[in-house]
Amino acid sequence: MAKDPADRTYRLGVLSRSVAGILGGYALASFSSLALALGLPFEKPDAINLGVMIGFILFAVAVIWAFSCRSAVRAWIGITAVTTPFLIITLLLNGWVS
Amino acid sequence: MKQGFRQSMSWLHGWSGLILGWLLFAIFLTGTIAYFRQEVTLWMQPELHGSIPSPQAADIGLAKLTSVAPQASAWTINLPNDRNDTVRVSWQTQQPGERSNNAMGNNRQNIERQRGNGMEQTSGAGERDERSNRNRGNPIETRSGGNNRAAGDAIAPRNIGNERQRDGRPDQGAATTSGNNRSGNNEVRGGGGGRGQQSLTLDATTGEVLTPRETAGGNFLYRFHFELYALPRDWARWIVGIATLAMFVAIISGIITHKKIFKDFFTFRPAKGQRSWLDAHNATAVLALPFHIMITYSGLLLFTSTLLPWASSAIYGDNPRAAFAAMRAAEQQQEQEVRAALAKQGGGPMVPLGPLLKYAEDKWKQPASRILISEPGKPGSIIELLPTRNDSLVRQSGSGGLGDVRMTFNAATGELVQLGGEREQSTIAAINSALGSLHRARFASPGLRWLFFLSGVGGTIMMATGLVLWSVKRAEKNKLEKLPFGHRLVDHLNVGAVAGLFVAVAAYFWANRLLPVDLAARNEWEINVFFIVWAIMLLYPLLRPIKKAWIEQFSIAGALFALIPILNAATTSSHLAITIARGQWMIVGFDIVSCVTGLMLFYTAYRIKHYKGPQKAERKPRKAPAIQSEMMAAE
Repeated sequence: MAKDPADRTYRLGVLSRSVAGILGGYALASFSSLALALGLPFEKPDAINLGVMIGFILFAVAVIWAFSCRSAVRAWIGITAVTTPFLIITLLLNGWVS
Repeated sequence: MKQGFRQSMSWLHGWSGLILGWLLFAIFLTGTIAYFRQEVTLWMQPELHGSIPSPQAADIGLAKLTSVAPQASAWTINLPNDRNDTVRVSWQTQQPGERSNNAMGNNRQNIERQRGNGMEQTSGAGERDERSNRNRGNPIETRSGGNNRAAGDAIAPRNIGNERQRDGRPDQGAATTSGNNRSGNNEVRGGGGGRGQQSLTLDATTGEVLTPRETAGGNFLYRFHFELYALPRDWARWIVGIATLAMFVAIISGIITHKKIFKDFFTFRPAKGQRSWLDAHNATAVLALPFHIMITYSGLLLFTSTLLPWASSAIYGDNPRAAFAAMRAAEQQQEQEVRAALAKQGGGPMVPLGPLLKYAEDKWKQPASRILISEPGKPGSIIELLPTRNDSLVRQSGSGGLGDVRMTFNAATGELVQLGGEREQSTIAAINSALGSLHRARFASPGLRWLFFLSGVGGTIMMATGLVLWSVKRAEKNKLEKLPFGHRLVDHLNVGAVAGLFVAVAAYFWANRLLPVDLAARNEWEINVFFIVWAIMLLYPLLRPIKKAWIEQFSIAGALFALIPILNAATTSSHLAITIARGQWMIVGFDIVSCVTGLMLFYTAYRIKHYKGPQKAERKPRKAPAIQSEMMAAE
């Protein structure tokens, strides 16, 4: 079955989307929870809790996006585009870059 | 993907559900039983069945403590309540050389460590379960508390609470989950400077010391549902956490897939092959949909310390406990001052407990369930009462529903004492607490607990029908003469993972009654029986056609469950005729629910046997579709 080029493309697409959704989604969840915990103007325990609550939801959204958009490339672009701002906020607020 | 949004979600739902579906089924089944963890443990310790709650329970406990531990630094009395029929007393002994102000804090720590927010945290009652798990043969059990758990728990975010709990409680789960920390009786464990805690279980009417058999009890099933067994704890939590993430994705994509969500709920087409499976899957999913969303999302939040620890560690570093101790220093200071002032007033004999208990019950509209006495008989002695359950969703629910609701009295005068101010709670903390409380149902009265249990049953059936549906759908689509290897593997594993787990759980209960009472490491043998039976059931379909394997395993599970009341009657003196007459509904409930479960499993087997598929009869395993809705109606 894997010899059929169309089938192979399909399988590679699924693999690429899976990686984008699962690992990309996890990166999104991690950095969104970090950015929110560091950036939200609440008491720290509250900011952490809210950041984590939103992070888990964004993970699910990322996986759904990865498998619903038109191509695997778009899956990557979308997830990267959303994760990057959170990553930058995290780096700035945590003092890892000044 | 290439198709529309809904088709791609259908695909995602199918695969994310299948890949971790067997594990999720096991998590749902054991987690559902865990709603009645204490009741299951009680059933598994028939030596306790003779104890009938009485109004004198508190005085019985107090008398025992006075005679066995007059010099203890702290006493605890756990009274009978609607989930416990015995009196359990425990006491802290102060070891030579220990600083005396620790003793004052001991009881405090006991409460405090139950107040955090972590998943690990078993309820106070759970802790009692574990204690009694080990105290056969030597009724006085010694254990040692950990260090300094008092600080800051209640306001700690959940993930921090998690770490703390685990560190602080080396004994937690030792009897049930970890392979390397199982211990015999009467062992002092942990650090904590040699501070020991000992406990006894008493008959609530006669005060006689009871020595229940060793059992892994409901706790094994409870801990299995989020930490599996014998795996390194972090691995196990990651595995279950990933399964929970998959469940979360599967639920959301399932809702999107399922456009006619309300219409389909009223649609059931029995004996129509794939359609029937789909209807059964949809009905159980939609009926308890709020429950499924809640249980999955709150499950994720309870796993925060494993899955998303980054936010907490970025802010609090690796030692969140120290950060919280600092934050709560003022509060602790105030409390110490109150205690010191009381001590100056001098001591005196303790006031009777009866009026205090009555006062608390009037105020709470529910009986107090636990009494903590610090420095009994000495100046500054304090009596604290804790309610049976924490009725409020938003208050800290860590301690068997007790949370931070309690009432404090001066032991010499019976006057109310205010130890510390009420903590304010933000909206976010309230939401967080509420989700944790909902997951564990610790706030729930027995009626509500049944509703959670039934929702869990719905989820269990949803998982099982979903797994079968995956197979049926593919088979009907492909119409192949010989199914591909992967498909056959799924069919094979479905049998062992679904029907086989029922057999294993039933065998676990049978092992509890049939293993010799004085067997060494008896609780471990119960668990061994569970896994050995499950392993056999997973291999079993290799030797039998799939359909026969389904029928036979459901029949075995049905027989084992249905006969549990008879097994109980044959091996104990607390069979249904006696327990119903005495009104011991926890034990009655176990017998009857087991029997009903068994009959329904039998019926499932019967329907599979007489099922003629729309295509070749031998091709597909089928459980009877109709059973799904009937099970829900009946339970």
